[in-house]
Amino acid sequence: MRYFAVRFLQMLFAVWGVATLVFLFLQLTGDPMEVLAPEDMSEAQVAELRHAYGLDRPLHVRYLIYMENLLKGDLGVSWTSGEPALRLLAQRFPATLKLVLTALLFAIALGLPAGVWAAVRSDTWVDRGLRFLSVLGISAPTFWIGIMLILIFSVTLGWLPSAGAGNWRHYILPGLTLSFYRIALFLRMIRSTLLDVLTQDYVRTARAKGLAERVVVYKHALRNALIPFVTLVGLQFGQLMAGAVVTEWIFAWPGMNRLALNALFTEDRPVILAFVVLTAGIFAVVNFVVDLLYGWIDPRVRYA
Amino acid sequence: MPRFPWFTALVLLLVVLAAILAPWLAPHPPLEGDLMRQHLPPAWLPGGDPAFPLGTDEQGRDILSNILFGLRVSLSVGFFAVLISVLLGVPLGLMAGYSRRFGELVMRLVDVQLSVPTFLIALVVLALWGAGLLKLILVIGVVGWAAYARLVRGAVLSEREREYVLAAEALGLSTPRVLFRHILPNVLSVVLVQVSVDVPRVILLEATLSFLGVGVSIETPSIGLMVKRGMDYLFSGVWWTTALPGLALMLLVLTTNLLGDWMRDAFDPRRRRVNR
Repeated sequence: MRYFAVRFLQMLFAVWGVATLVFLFLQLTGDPMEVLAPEDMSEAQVAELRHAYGLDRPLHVRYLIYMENLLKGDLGVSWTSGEPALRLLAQRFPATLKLVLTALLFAIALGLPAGVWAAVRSDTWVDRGLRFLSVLGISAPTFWIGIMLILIFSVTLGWLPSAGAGNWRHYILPGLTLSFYRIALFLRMIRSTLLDVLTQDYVRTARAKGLAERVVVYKHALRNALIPFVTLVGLQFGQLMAGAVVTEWIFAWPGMNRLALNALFTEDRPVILAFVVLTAGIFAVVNFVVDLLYGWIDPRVRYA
Repeated sequence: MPRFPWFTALVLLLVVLAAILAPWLAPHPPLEGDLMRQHLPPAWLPGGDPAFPLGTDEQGRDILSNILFGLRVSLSVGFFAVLISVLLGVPLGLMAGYSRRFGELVMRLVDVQLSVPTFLIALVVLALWGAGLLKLILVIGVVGWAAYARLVRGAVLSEREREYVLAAEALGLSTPRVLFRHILPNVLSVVLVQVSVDVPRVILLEATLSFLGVGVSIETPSIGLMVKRGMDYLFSGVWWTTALPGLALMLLVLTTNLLGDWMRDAFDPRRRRVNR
């Protein structure tokens, strides 16, 4: 219980810290009137506009208002569309979530069996080949993978669409692009934990009992190797929610990362602010839940 | 100790040398274009020109020269940004491991820092602050401190209990002396391993940010920027402006990663047993 409370407070502190830092950073990056006010506006009109946005108030007052609004779930209004920033992001959230889940599914479906295979065949050509592929996987730039997939499957073969979100065929290329790195990561991780577990005493005991190697690997060893794997998958989920920017950009995916990137290019600060706070929030909550799960599966963690 | 990967090291050395010697090796100035020779294919394809071995881009700029200069940018970002992270993170981690109060404070800051992905921070800061090589190095470098601080603090906490530290303290040596002369050398291997993970990560980060247009400025030859520009011509059958620069970057990152893997195995006795 104490562990839970401490972790919870740490999570709140982290989100608060991020919200404060983004706010301060946005104050440092120039006068918002440069973006908001048309060039031919008179001094008086600019001052009026500044007042309308509440930007003429002192910094600490604006900070307190910002914090109060944040608690109410209000992160301001988009400068370009006039809609609440959080609502804009929320509308695009499902598309991003679906893409991320697709990518995680690909990564688990390909990375997990490949990792087990490499570990079972450790130090053979299968293992060496898979290990090399996995290093290749973490070395390839995601944007480049996406473009190569478009070149092969959209331009040359014409099999799959390269932009937009419609039916299931639209999910394949962006899903693969986003999962590429994770496939390799999962492979590496499962291989090394499984090899670690396979040297443990209880595995030796299981083997000594004359159990089939299949039973030893899948029933005894893999189960224990899966504990850290679950943690990794959870953490990657958080990473992916914010890491899909490039993929959404290349494939014109209607997700919230693409919206945020557009906001960055148009300097739509309320949307940028909302995006960073929301992403940090998701990230922090996911990490918190993963930590709790881990503490629940493996009680030793709680006392560390 | 696992066998040193000679071949990988040799390839990496060649790539690094090619990047450093780019001004002498590159057949053309990287930014010099000529609209008369736009989108020349690589020399081995029909229509190719041997003077432009890997072809040209939409403004007639030589791809090979741009790759060489681009790798130079990648390497300098990888080197200097990680250096900044180490110089910030290691001393903070050392002190955090020694003073309980200060340690708690640093760890809370680490929590804040790590609750937003590095990529996101760099993206937002650079988009609002403007693109540029120095800014990029500075931002990535500063944001990277947290991993080192956390790692070093953890290492110091476990080293502190060891006899040699207790002995040094019993001899009445000053705290900075114990920290920097006695503990630091013993936590350096963890730092080195983290560096070997960070350099390829940072190189990819630079390329990605430049690809999105917020990394280096457009007058800088950069792999990410080249691929970004090439993306507009994918459907006109021009593949060499995107495929080849990415391939070159991947070679650099791949060899760095393989060397890092070797280092990790060599420094970590637990892994040595497992991987052999």
